[in-house]
Amino acid sequence: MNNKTIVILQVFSVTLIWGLVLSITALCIHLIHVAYRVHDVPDATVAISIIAILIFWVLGSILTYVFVGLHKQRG
Amino acid sequence: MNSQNYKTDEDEVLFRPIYHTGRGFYLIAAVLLLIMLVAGTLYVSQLIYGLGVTGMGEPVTWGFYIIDFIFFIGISHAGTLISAILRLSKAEWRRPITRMAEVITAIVLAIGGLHPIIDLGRPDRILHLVTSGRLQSPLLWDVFSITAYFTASTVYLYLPLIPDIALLRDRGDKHHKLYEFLSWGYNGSPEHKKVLERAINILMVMVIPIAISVHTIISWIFAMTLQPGWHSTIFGPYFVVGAIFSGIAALLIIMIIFRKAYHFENYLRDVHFDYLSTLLLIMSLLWFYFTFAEYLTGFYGHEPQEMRVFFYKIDGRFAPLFWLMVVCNFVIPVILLGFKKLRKIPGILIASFSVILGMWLERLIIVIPSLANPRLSYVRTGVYFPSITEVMLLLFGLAALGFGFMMFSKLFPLISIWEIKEGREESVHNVSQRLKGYFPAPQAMHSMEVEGHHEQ
Repeated sequence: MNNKTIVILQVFSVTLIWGLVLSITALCIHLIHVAYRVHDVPDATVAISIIAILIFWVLGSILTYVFVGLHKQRG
Repeated sequence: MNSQNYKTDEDEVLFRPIYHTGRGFYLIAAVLLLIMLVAGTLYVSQLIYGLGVTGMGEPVTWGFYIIDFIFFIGISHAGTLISAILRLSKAEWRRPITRMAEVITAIVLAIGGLHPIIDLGRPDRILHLVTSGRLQSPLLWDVFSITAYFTASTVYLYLPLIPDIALLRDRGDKHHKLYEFLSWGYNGSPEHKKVLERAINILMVMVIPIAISVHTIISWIFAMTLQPGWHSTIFGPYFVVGAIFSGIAALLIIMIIFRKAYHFENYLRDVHFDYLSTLLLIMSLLWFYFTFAEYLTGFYGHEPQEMRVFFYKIDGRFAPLFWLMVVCNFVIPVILLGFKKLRKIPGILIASFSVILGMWLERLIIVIPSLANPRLSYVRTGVYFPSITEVMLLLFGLAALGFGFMMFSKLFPLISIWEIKEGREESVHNVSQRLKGYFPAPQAMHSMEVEGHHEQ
């Protein structure tokens, strides 16, 4: 396995994290849609979704920040 | 780092478990794997025959699986929460214990998170949550909070691991490509250190509310219902206290076992056990206070359905388990940890095992008696006795924790090497600077005295 393959795998691992973040976001949006459709307390669903989405986006951003930071400064 | 250097590394003992594997390791790993295999086979039978193979039924529809779920998620508070609080408070003695604490969290969260799926009987039904879940239900809050906590804990374990992975990569001995991949190009430069430090600082602030929210939300699964014995406003903090309590006990057990197995006596010293066991003692007192407050308010209200559950626990069918819980969570820890003479490694180990048993019993006593005595008076008192499948799946969880920890120790250092090195180089200076900041400077004191004289 050469260095290029390792870098590709590293980028892939960060992409996976964003896959999780985007899946959670999509799930929340879908559940908000369901709550509106069946008139099942949509405002609470929106409030909880905002918190959940925010947490996962911050986590994804922290990992990306570290990944980019370490690769940018690579000597 | 060349081979000459690392052979004389003062922390070489911390690398040793990665490169040397004794016969005892294989033996214990085989036993743990066997337990997991047997439990796995029994789970397959549950998949085929359904939840009929468990002891659950009407009205006790939750059993060991939900008890184990709360128990394992509780233990997870050992790690990230304790590690984050100690890091945030700049407690220098944290350095050799944070890694172990963080590993416990990541492993038990994965184990605990599986249990509600096992409890479903038909795991494919988890997809109903995706298609038509109700986000205003505490059950779904749990799914999100545990997923968030697991993600945050894994990241919080991984980021402080990067400098150690880079050390292993530079040694070039074993799994070189794996370490190359995982180290993300870290080279120990001041810029790299700054990037990591900043990310860890954000994470440790973030992970504390997430950890607290996880066990609070688990408590709400019970407290949001009108079931006698569950509908309580203090359930959130009561569960969090219990979780930290069992988490510290689990951390102490792991520390004592791996200290002995890997000869970490020089790193995990008496002072670490002394501080952590004092924390365990405080949590024991806090747990007793919460338990007393919870039961006293229930008793004082004397609501008939509430009292049915109350007496079922205090002097009914569950009385032996209830009083054993009090002995395990309060009497034994207070005796063994309250007296300096007894607060030695064997005493701490016994107290920690006692707390683990006691906290598992506490989860049992919360879940079963309330379900066995539902509010509907025409429903007869339920009976629950676990089946062999449920008992084996509890053992599966414990075996998976041990096995996971052992596997981790074969790939990564169990004690954060870079933090130890950093501590040696910087701690004395940092602490002395901090101490100076705690007290008034001599000049300021002098000027205050002068001002005092003038006023007189």
